[in-house]
Amino acid sequence: MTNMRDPSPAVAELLVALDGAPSYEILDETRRVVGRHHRLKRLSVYLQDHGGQTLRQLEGGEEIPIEYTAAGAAMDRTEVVAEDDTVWVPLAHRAEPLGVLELTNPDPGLRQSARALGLALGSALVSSTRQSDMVETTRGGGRLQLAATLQRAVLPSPCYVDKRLELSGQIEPAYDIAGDSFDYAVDHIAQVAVFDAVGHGLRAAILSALATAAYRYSRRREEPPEQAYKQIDEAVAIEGLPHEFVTGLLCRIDPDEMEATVVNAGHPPPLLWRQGNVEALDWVRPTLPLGLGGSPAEVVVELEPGDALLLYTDGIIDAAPLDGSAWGLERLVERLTSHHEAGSLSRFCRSLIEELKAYVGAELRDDATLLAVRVAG
Amino acid sequence: MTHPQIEIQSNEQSGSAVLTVSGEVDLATAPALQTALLAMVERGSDKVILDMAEVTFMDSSGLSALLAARDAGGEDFEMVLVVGPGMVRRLLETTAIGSLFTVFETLDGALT
Repeated sequence: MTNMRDPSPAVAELLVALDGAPSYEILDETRRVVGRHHRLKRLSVYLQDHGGQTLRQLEGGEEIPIEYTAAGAAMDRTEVVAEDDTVWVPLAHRAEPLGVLELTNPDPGLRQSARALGLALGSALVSSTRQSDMVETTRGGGRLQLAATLQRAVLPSPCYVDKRLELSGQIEPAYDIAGDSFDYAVDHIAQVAVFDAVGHGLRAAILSALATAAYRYSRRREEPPEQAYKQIDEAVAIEGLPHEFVTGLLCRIDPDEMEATVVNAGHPPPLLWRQGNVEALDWVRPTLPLGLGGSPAEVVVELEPGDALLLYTDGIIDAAPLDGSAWGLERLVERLTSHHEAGSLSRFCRSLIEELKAYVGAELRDDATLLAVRVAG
Repeated sequence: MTHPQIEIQSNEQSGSAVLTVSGEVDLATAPALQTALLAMVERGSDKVILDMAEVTFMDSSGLSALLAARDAGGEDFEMVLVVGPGMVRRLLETTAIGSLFTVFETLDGALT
């Protein structure tokens, strides 16, 4: 169904047309260009809601559940899925799933070029978020509280995949946002971090945004994790209120040398997931959290092909139902060791979070964050 | 949402000021703990034993309260923590914040 080598001329024309179109004409322009080259009955766009359960129609009121639908499967697996006379095309941009494109009764040429069409449109929609609120509004950004809006504003894309490295970051926010954040940059070296700011609400979101910005500042000056600790520590100590702090893990991963350099700022140590076994790297000893003036020490973790490092916040292991016991590190480890299916890291992380939410059965009391990085096997 | 409860009692044991806390220390209840600790600092106590053996849940807000009391007390003030074997101990170890205090697992240990 996919022919990337020789896509329809509609795709090339669309790339040029969308670059010049205002965001509110992206959908109309797509219908116009595709309609000029192909026969089809209907073309619609659905974007993933921030709640992660629903696809919401762009410029229309329809909703499709993500679970157990062909549309949801197309987005989840980043695959074109045919269902009766409809073709569901993933809308994604550099592995970040955004939603799905619905083509009803497309002609054979359009079916062939569906994937390429989805990439062109997905890229235009993601780019539009830097200049327009259309995508965010459709995804339910208007229902987020101020703290959640700030928390989301600083997050990078939740997924990254290349031939050396796969990365997935997921935050399940608490009812009252609790200041979790993660950040990364993949260049020849991959740099990743998770943060958990003290407290709740807007104050916590401001602190973790500050920590993230100080991390980027240090990273872009090409400083090692130890120096990043000092930059963030100073920023939180100066700009934070007395006794405020942020815990975190700062990792520099070299996929060629197969090693990770980690600084632990008062945070639960990372888990090393190797060939189905899981080791909590307790020897990555913590120094004080950021803002409290600790003495950071870099620890080197040797990696093997296929290894994954899993960073998490205590919201994962302390999550508990009302009057029930916490999910616990044991359950997280058990879940990792019993996982054998192929599939993307991001799907697996999302399924873990869904399982955690089902276990708690109510609003989470603390943000729960997972960040997994796997080096190629 | 849960409605966390906290109970704080102060008394004197073997000549030491002891603050006994039980229940959950989180964003909602940490201010009560901080107020109780600061009151002891203001009373001029040079040492307080904070018994948290019966605390079933504590998050970073609780740690902030401990840091606030430690700073308010200054150099001549000693804060001794009794943490039990459970979550409070784990939290103090994971965050390395335990290293800023004298920590015992039992009250008897802290009193001797």
